[in-house]
Amino acid sequence: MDRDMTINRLPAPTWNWLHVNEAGIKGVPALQAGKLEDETPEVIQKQEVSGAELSRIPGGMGADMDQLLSQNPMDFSVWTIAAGLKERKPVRLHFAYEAGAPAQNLIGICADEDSEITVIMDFSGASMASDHIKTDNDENDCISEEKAPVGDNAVSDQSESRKLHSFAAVQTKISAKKGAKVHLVQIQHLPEDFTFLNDVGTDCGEAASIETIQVVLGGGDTYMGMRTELGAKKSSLESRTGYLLDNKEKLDMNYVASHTGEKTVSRMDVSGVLRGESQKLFRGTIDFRNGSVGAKGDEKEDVLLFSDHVINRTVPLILCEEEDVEGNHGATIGKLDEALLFYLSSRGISEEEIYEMMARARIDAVCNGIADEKTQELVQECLG
Amino acid sequence: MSGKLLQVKNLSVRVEEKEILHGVDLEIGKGETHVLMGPNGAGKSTLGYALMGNPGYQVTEGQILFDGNDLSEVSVSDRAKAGLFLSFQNPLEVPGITLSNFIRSALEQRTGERIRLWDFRKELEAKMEILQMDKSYAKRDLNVGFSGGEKKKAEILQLLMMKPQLAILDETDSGLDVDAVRTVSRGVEEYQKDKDGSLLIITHSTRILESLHVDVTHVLVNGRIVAEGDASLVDEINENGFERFEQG
Repeated sequence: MDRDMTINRLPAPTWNWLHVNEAGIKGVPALQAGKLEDETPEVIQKQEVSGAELSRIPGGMGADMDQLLSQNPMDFSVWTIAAGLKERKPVRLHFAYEAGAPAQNLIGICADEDSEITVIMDFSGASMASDHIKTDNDENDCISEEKAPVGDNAVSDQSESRKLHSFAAVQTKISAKKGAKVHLVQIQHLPEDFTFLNDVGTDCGEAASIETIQVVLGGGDTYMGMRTELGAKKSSLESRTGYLLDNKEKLDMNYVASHTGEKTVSRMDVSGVLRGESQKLFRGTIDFRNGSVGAKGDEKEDVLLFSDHVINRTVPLILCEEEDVEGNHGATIGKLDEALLFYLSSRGISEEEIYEMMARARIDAVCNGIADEKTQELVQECLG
Repeated sequence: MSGKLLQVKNLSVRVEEKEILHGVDLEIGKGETHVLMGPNGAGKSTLGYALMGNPGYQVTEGQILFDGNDLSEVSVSDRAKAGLFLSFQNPLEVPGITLSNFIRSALEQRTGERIRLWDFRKELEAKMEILQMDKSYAKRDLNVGFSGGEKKKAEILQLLMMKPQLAILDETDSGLDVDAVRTVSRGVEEYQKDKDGSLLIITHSTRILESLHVDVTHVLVNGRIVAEGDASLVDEINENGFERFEQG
């Protein structure tokens, strides 16, 4: 049975008329288990578990996402690295979604004390022929976002509806015990007719560190949520996200770093390019809660606008219940300036190529942190 | 006499509402070194930008011929491809693009062919050595966090790698200490030796010229070329300044 969802809620809502408090999705279908191929190094254990413990770790999208995924009871596919082991070879997970087969995957990553694991996820999909994608108004067979008033800049767009042929949802829960390091890399290169929900929830033990790199290179409507519980002393998060949006693609993000442990550190960098009529909404929250004495949080955004028709929205939020904390936010949003264009052109680079270079530069800067040649090559291949 | 590479005929240039250059004539032959001197605000940089085709600099009259071709309808990037190069007085910072990748991309754009990474690196490192640049700069974002001197060296590095037919150096020596000027000057010498390239050196000091053979000196005052001569004119200006030209 189809359902309506409200996800990516801002932890502290602002004015409703801004249409940034949450994202609404209507008519989401029941989901089947998605196809998943993996390459797992020997020392890492892979198992299917009911995932009760992992389910308790909250994701960034919220309760509706959990409920959606529980409609079709399935186990978590969990990759575990034992205490003290540090595996440099990554676990590779390849998700190949198909049009006409709405799918879901539940992934668990468990890193025991003082271990280190890298998991690389690659989200791809097969597009449906365009004549199968109708934009009729059949409420029972379409997905549409909650509407924003005409003239509003919200990511939502009431005028659009699309078939549910190409829908996928992934939830990744990470448990990093004391001193563990988890590197999560996600590369999304889905066709434009996909709606994709990508939710991450992380729980960190003392001095555990989480490093995420997410790259969005293709997809119709993409929703990303990430919540990191920095509940233990000196635990840390470093999250880097890069995106290239074109045509009518939409990206809706809700990232929360919840600091409750002493001297915890979070850093969120989001960098991307908007072209055509694409839309992006980034909610980034650093939440300093009671007990987070000496915690530091930093969020930075860099958006390049390549068209007058794009919509860019940013909601940086720093919440504070402790006095001895440090929170920073910075954003650079704009077009390429004339002086820069002239400088680069004067070296024989055409304007078109300059825009390409600057777009690539943003993705390259994010991907420089990926210590895996194969994944770097995949990104370059996707960039063309 | 060498063939004419650049011919500027009766060039007038306007920036926004103000005309900066008024009927400038200039000819540069292949392999020649010309110096354009003048007091602050004379229009020296304006001429450099106009030659390179900066869209903010509108040519209201006259003509620029490069290798016999009229540049009036030629884009900035195509002028560069044709062999014009402008070394910027204040090079811009470009986050996200390394110096090395930038030069390689520019070279590939110009030739339309892939350049082998190994060959490129070898040449780049050799040129960096001439300029006494630390190799780590190749991997750094273009001009980001570079000192003034390193930015100028990065400009000359691009000159050496791109090997244009005519290089316009806009105040390349300004803000540099004596040693840095000497290093940059060595790079410029290398360019001429390597390519038999032509130079238009825009300056209001003479330090960068000490080790270069100057063929012609032009003096620009209030948007007009008011005097021309050989290298001795540089010495005269060095001694007496621009006063007599400004009075004229």
